[in-house]
Amino acid sequence: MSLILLTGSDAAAYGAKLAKIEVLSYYPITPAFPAMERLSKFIEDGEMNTQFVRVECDHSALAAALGASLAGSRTFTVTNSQALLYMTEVVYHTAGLRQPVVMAVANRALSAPHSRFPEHGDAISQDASGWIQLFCENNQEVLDTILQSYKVAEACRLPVMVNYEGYIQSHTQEEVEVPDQAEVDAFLPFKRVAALEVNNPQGLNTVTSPEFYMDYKYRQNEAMELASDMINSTARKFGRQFGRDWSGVIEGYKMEDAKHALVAMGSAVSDARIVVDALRAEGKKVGLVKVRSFRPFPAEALRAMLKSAELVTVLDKNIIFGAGGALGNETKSALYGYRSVPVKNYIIGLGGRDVGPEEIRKVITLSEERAKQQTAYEWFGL
Amino acid sequence: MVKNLPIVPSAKPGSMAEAPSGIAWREQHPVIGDKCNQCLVCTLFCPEGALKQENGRVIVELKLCNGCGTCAVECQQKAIVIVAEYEGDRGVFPLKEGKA
Repeated sequence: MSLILLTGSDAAAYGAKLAKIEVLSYYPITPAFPAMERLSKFIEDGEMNTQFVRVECDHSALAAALGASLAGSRTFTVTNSQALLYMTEVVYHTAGLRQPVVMAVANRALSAPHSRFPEHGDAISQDASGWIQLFCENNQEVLDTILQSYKVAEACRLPVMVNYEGYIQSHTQEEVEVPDQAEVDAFLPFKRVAALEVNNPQGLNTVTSPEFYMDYKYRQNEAMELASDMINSTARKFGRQFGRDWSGVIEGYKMEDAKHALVAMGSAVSDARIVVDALRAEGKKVGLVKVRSFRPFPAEALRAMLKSAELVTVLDKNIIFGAGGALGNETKSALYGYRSVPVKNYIIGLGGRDVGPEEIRKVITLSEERAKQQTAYEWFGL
Repeated sequence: MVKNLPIVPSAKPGSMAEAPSGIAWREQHPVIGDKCNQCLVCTLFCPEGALKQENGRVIVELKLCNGCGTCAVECQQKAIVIVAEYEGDRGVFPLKEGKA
């Protein structure tokens, strides 16, 4: 184990290296590219035994990863925003074909207008794709989540997106513990499962009649529902072995007696922890729920955490036009019919607009002032 | 009852040929006549691979034929006749009295 300064991109690259990926396919895009640069250096220096497939576009990048995965190899790619949209067709193929591809996504705003700055809009656009979507709050979590993702993906036969925000995480250095290879090997053994076999030829992704299609989709959704348990048990196992507990699909921070609960995901979580600590010091019963897994969405666990909250404030770094924030909508959906509690949904930090502890503190004050006002969602920071 | 299916949506080679969709909507099909001289041009032009030579004769595999009629056009011997699947009335019919 060594403690070094790493950006989120570096952490993703170290994660892929430690997972001993066999195929890396990539097409450049900002802010995801430093992860690929770091990986290509590892490959060039002979530190990884990995086939680097250089392709002509993002659609092909994921298609190459999918093909390699179908042939049985452990594959990785990294992308964001426009490139993720361009991949979308293959994003759905990968999930439907049940391939354990792991993809790091350095979340960035979507065009138009063109932006290179962080928010969660790109990942949210893929929320129905059938990928497990995990959101990381810091760079250590990026590395650790990549390792956990392969375990979850290969057990559930589902692809995983590991999300960290562009620049805020992808280009910012933090202290990161890089585990030893031997420890990772013990945590993450690899059992090759190849759908494409020379000695057992079969047609994949064949035209499927109404008689079978719906059953395939039922099974895919069933696997997604079961993935929550696997994400939880993998996080626990990881915690026991490496001493860092990322608490699976969801984490409650000072929620035991919280009257006002914040719900957030991604980098806002680490800022919100600072705010919660400060408000607790002032005697205010504020707590924080970190949603680590957006897909599958931990509705039941979230409901349990919010069981005694009197006000819920949801922070969303995305906007679904005409409907509010994705996390806000999921939170309301999880509570509906179980509890009648005001859920205030704030749209924050789109396209890189700065959101730090000060802003989150203002959102909390605003939410408390406006708790009685029934609004589906509100914008903060305009 | 949900069917048990392979995890990766897949099928054995040839599964599509076992139940091609053409059968349901084909309106016509070729019949190979006695003028056939086994030149096999029709087998090269058939887009579905429905024509083949077997025991010295050209035969049509009807489960593959989509009824396009290309074989009859390409046949230099005019040995192929296209026959309709259905010869009855077509179109929208007025309701007969007393019947719903």
